[in-house]
Amino acid sequence: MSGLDGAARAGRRSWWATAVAVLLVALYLVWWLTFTRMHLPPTRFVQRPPGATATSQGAEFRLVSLQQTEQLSDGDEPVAAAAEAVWVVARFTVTVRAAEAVRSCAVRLVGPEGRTWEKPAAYLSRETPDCVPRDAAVGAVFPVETFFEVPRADVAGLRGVAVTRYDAGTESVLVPGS
Amino acid sequence: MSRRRVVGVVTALVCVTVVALGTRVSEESADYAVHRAPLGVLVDYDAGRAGVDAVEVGTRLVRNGQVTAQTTGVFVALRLHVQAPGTEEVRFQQVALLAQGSTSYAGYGLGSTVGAEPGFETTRLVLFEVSPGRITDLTFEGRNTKIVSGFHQRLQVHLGITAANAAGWAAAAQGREIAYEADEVTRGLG
Repeated sequence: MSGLDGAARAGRRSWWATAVAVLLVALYLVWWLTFTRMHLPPTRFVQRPPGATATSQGAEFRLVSLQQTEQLSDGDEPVAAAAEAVWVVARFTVTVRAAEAVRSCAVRLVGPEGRTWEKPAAYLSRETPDCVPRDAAVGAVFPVETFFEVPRADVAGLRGVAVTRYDAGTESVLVPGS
Repeated sequence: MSRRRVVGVVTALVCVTVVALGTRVSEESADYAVHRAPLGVLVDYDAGRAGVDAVEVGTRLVRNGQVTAQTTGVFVALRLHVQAPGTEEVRFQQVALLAQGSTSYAGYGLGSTVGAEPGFETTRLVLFEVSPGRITDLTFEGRNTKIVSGFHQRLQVHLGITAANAAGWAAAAQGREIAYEADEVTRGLG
């Protein structure tokens, strides 16, 4: 009986030790991630030729079109851009190259002098999704769309759309093929 | 002392150390720069420019013709302008009205931050509810402190309420409505 109790206690101790070790490793990783993010140099953007692709999180992005518009539909409602600004709509084909548990399809519009814009926080109901389905099969191809709000003065200097990478200091800037 | 007790004491010490470090890291740093701006003038702030204008006082807030709030104190409304002419966004993480006697009023019904994306100007209506007896030398203060604190900047704008005219401002607020339609307006910088 006491032998069984001793084994149970030893088992509990090892679970506690494992939990504490995992917690300490997690704390170290959070600290390391915070420190490196604070000290990383700005992202370097690499301009790619028209029609080139970029891969992130197991998905291959090809920019099909990059169009500016004064109004964007939110379901049936047109939504005007801010004063002295326009919407820029980026449409991609995304090919799933590997199964991934998390896929964000995060992209940034790259403008003159290193300015970048992300998709606005305001939700607009659009027909085309902004990322591939979570359970997408490898090899499947999906149309994906995202949009940005850009100062009118910067539209002429747009460089393209950068696909966000989480494992490198450079990001490929895509432009549509001819 | 048994091994289990030693492990417990060490674990407790590690937990206390981690909490202390976390508290220290997130504590607001004493290392900051203050940018004082006259009312109605934008000055350099963080990676852009910011300023305050259109100060109003009242006791009722009205939106789309409906009274949304009323107070026995005084509502102070102002417009906060934030410009981001460079490559970085410019953001206020905290806003407050500083009054005499180390009194500070937090924003009334505000979102947590006010900011502008690169190439944009954001104008935001900022509201405060203050005591009518403490409106002398009210000063707007905005900060860009972050979770992991370090050097940060503060914008301070004196609203123009002095000891000589405070009674007039307080009297003017009584029964007055402050009408507002949009909390935030954004425009591209030319």
